[in-house]
Amino acid sequence: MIVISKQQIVEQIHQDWLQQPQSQICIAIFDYLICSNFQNLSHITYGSLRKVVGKSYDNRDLLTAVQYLCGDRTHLLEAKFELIDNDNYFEISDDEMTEARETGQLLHPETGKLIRNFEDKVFIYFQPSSVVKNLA
Amino acid sequence: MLTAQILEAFSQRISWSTMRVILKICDLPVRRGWEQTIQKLTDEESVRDDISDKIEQLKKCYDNHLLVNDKALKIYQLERKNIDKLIAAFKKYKPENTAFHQTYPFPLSDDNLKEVDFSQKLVEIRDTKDSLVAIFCTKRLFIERSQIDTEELNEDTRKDLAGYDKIIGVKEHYRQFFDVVVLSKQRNNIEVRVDITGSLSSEDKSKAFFQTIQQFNNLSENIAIVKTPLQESINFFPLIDNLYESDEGKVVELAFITDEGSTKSEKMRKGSVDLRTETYHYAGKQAVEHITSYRLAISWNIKICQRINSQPELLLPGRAQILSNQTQYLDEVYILNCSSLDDYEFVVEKIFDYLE
Repeated sequence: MIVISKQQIVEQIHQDWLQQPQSQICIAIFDYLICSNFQNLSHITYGSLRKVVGKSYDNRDLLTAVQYLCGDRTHLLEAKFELIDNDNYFEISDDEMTEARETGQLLHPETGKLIRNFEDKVFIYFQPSSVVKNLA
Repeated sequence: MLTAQILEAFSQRISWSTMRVILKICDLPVRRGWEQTIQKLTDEESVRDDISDKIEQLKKCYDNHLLVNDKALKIYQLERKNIDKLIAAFKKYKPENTAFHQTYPFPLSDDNLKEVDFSQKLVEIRDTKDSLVAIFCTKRLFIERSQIDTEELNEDTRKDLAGYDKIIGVKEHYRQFFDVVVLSKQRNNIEVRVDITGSLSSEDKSKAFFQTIQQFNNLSENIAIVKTPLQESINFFPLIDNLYESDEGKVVELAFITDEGSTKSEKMRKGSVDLRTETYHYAGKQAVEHITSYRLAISWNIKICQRINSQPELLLPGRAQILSNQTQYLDEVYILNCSSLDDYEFVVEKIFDYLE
């Protein structure tokens, strides 16, 4: 595993986004990840990231920044999926999600039954990635 | 007779505590509960000449009450010229006579309501200083669930049901609902207020919004030649944090998540302290970097007279899923427990103050 430093990450973000708002958004999220206990950040939603970055950035900028942080360039965030069914939460593994997207069908993790319109019931959340956990 | 009719109509729509506030506003006597108060006022109505003005005021409160309590609200922003065009056209329009007009503004009797179909009818266009209001009446099926007292059942039935801890009865009956569209003369918006008296189910509420919006859009096109004025309603979601972080009113309910994966729902009893400062909540909030809220109820205490306060409430009824969406959007709020137009307007003003 390659261990990189906080400084390298910050430089990478600035280099990729220059003066664009995504630069500040990514840094704000990165600061939040490294200033918190990882154990306490197991379920970060879009709503929570909005609180972290504040109200001054528009949604499109936040979205592109989050996509970037999940991507290979920095990979600071790990995207996870969950099924929300009648206020109950079920984790969906990456493999299950990939299969569901390929086949258009998702099986309920508990009942084993097919879920109609699963795209409306499956939501994304985020966790700090191994890159963040192993920062120098 | 009129007093009894007004109070009977009120009793189908509001709590006794709100009724007490309204009676105090009208300077009318209050006895213990609905029955005794109706009796007292009916007696006074027949012997006292000086009470008629107060009863007229009570009737006015009832007329106003139909516009404000309890309502789910969506707000649409429009250009001033379009609202003015709609106001001018609706002002001239006379609603057709319908079965609801037999007793309007009072509800139809249960027997008469049974004979009415489920379509929504425009019953009144009310022109006031601040707005033009279109009032619609609709019959809807209302489902009531209540626990059956097994002591009231016969011996054999009680034996048959011995294995059950609770027996729940489901009663379906029809109710008359008053949905309202308000075209503001001051603000550049139109409010759609759906009647949710008696806790309409979420599905029925959505249907009621759909019905009212569609009905108003059709009327607008037909009588004002303004096509689909109600399209995208405003997003109330930012109000949740803005109100929570303010010192406005008293937070009585909050639901939120933490980034550790928990979902919390907290509710204060009536008369308790503000949830923001409640010991358990306050300490929990200090222990995390932030909480992410998705549902909030806030109430205000408005003094009417000595020992009588009105307590209008604003509920932002979000669900946890909103936070998992890429954009947080909440397109409706509930305004509850209003005892007057002033209460309602007070809450709407707060909405606009804190959305900015």
